[in-house]
Amino acid sequence: MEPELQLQLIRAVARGERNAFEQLYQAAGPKLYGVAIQLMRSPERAEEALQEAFVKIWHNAAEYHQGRGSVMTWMSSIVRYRCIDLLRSKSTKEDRQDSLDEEGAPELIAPEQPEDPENQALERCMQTLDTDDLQYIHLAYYRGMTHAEIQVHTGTPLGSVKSWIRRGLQRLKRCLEE
Amino acid sequence: MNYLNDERLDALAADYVMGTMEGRARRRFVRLMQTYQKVRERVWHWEQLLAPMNARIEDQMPPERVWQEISRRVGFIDTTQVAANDAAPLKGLMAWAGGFATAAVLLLGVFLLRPDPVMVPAAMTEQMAVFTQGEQPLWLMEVSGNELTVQATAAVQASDEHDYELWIVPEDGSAPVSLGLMPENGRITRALAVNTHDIAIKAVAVSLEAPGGSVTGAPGEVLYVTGLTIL
Repeated sequence: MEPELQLQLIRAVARGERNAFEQLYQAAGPKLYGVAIQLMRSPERAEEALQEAFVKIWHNAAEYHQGRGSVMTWMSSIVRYRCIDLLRSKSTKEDRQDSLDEEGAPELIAPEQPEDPENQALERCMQTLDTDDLQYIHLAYYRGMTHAEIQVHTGTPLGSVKSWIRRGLQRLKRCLEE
Repeated sequence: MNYLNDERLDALAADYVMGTMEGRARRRFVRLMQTYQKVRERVWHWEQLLAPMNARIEDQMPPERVWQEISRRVGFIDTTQVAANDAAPLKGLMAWAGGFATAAVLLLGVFLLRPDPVMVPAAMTEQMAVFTQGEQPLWLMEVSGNELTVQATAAVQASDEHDYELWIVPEDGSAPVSLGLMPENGRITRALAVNTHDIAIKAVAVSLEAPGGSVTGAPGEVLYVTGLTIL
């Protein structure tokens, strides 16, 4: 969906227009459900996160402004934070211990010449990172792992996990801001 | 520790957006975000830097029941059913608000209460409410035009573990609508969301929530309920 149309829709949602909310859901739901499944590794839990995120989007639409980035960025962040909260909750954490090594989520799409300039820049900058930095960033961002979970998953000391993620992100940021 | 040192703030914001920040550190950071624009802006910047990573994630079609459930939760369909089926805190709040009509009479000596439903925000009308614990005032809430101001008193117990959230309880019995988080000290002023306009209000309430506020769209444990007074 075009960013301009998303902007019109979110403004209409802020005015309480139900049709606009449904259109926004229809347009963004598949991408956001994908984000939720990737993190939650369980369709049921991803559904829960998506539902709660959209309830929040309905109530908080008036808080969106362009300083938050595109409407899609704002909504993706709401979905991600809800997933992360659910992942960190005690009951999910207990269930999740066994599933961290399982292939519970779809594979990521191989980066093939993205059309969007922002995506092109990210792919270019990702390629400048060390393999380790990239692996840890992936485990945190796409799989929602904490530093401690990455430590267990990779066998790398906690301090190294933290500093490599931090170093990788700062490199990424410098590259993207160039 | 100086959280607002630029370099440190940038690293913390990145940790928060990545999701690697946990527990008390995450709760403290959420509180900093609520307090400082500079912290929010750093987080927004990182959200925008990393959002293109989502392009690698393949779309997945959510089952039809997801939209049905969202519609139910935001009150598009069968709100009586929502009130009947939803979690106990919601029913509890409706019951509390129902009981408020009696309590209001007792408070007449303190506030001039208007018995009819109050439309908020009505242009040129000012309204206020005071949340109290016993005789101790906790928050003073005022609505002026489209602007909401809430002042916390020193009696409010600040905590890293919880947030307090403000709700309006509609007169028509539909689900409570959030007006956002309450300050734990000082004063906040913000615009009222447009979708809260023209709701006839039975009462306003404060609930206890996990840091960041309710994500379900329904209040958690309801702590205080009071009415809006036209000034």
